[in-house]
Amino acid sequence: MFPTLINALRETLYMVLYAGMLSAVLGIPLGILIASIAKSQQRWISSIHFTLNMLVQLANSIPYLLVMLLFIPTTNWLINHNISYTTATILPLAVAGILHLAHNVNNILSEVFVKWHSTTKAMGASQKQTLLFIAIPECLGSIVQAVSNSCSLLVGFSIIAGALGAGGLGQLAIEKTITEPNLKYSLVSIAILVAIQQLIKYTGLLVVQHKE
Amino acid sequence: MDQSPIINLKDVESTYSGSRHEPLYLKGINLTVNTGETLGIIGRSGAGKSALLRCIGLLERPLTGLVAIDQKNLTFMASKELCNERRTIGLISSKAEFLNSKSVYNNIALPLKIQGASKEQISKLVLQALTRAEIDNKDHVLPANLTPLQRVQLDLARTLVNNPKILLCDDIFVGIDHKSAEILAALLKKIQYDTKLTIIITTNDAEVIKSLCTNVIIMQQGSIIEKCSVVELFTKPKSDTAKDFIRFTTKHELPWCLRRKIIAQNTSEHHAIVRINFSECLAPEEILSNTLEAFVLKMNIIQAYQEIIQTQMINIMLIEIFGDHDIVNDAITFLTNNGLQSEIIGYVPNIN
Repeated sequence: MFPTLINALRETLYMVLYAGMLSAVLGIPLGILIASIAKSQQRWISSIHFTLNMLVQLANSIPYLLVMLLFIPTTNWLINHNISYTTATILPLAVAGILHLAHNVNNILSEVFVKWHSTTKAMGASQKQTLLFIAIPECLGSIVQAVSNSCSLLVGFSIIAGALGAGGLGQLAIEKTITEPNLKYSLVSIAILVAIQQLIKYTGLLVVQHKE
Repeated sequence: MDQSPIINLKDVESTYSGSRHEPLYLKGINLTVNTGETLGIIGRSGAGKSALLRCIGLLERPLTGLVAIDQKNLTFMASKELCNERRTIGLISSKAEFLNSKSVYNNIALPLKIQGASKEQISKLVLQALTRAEIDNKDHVLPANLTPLQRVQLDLARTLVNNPKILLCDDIFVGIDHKSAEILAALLKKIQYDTKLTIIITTNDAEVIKSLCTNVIIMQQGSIIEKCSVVELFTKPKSDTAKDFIRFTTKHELPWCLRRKIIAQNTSEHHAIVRINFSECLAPEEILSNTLEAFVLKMNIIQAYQEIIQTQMINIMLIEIFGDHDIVNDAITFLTNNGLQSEIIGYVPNIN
């Protein structure tokens, strides 16, 4: 039992870590972009904002199982190019993570922009200066927390991916529970997943507290 | 004092979202403010006081009309230049935001950091601003640990590092106790005396107007309905809003027990209630007693209010005069001609 569990755990962490990193690297800038072009006077910039914002909002409301299904052609294509199913799953996971994080970062920053609106204007600060000197330093803690929230969400998503055969704890738990007449694997998987989620959230909290 | 206008507003109109299809919240505003003036803006909530301040500070561009600061038309200025221009107009507000994770020192340094000032320059200017706003001993405190008064002082210091020519104060006396308000008013006065700042204050507090302002504008439903000096506001209010504003301080109104009984016509069973306003008279008591003696009338003081606003003595007295109506009318004309503005506000029945 032990080696299979370790192997599954390794696969889950592999998926979550890579997808998490990708969503942090791409999701935070996307969120910042959406928030900072929200009040633009120029028509073409505000239409870009509208499109991006709509995309993120709508994509976030698609259930993850359906996101996975939408990505089946892409994952199949990747698998045909000698990439394992587990690795190929990182793509839909990262997309979900990026959209979720961008949505949250956008919300956090927009709130600060609204709150600081008249103060920064009276100071004579441009939108760019507001972003660099006020919004990002003030929101750093909340953004770190948003990243850890997204990562723990990705843990859950990786289990759904596992149910579709991507490997990891999800696949292990489902296969063993169906083939063997006991819940041993299920329960252990749940315990490990809960532990991982708590660990990620706690780490985020620690980083925030350390910052303050 | 230098009397050149520093702020010029001409036919300014504005709506909330800046679109033409919404009701105007500023209508046909014409306003000139001189250098070194302290202007109070009063009016009921929602009358457009704050909106006018935001318009002067060019936080929002007006829909139509011109806003000129220091003879410079800012209405159509490009955003970048406007950012520089806004630094000469400080805005402090009870709703100001601070960097909550940074100390007072760093909060005040923020506008300078944005402008890219050097470290030595920042420390010099910040210390100066801290002293000017009188919070020098709080430089390492977090904003969350400040009292409401200190928050306003912090906001003030943060504005002063830019060395503004105009200071706009948006409801800064809200949520501050009387003693603190007094300290803050004294502080503003001192800063203005030192630097010849032009200050514009929106408030609902008569004490603030009395102690700080030289002139007052009264707003109602988005337009300026009256502009006068503070002394005029307290002695000769014209509009209802102005009368309402000073009602609680100057006792311009009759006590309730008399207001109930007052009538407009005189009969033989009634006697006159007279309001005498002798703010511009040198020897009022003498003239009053001499006049009543000469006309053989008896009087009774109902209420009297006396105050010094800036350098001007304000006296408002409510008296009842007993006697023949024609003689009373003659006496009142005589008093008015001698500098005691008197008017009969009504008649109440004689007792018993």
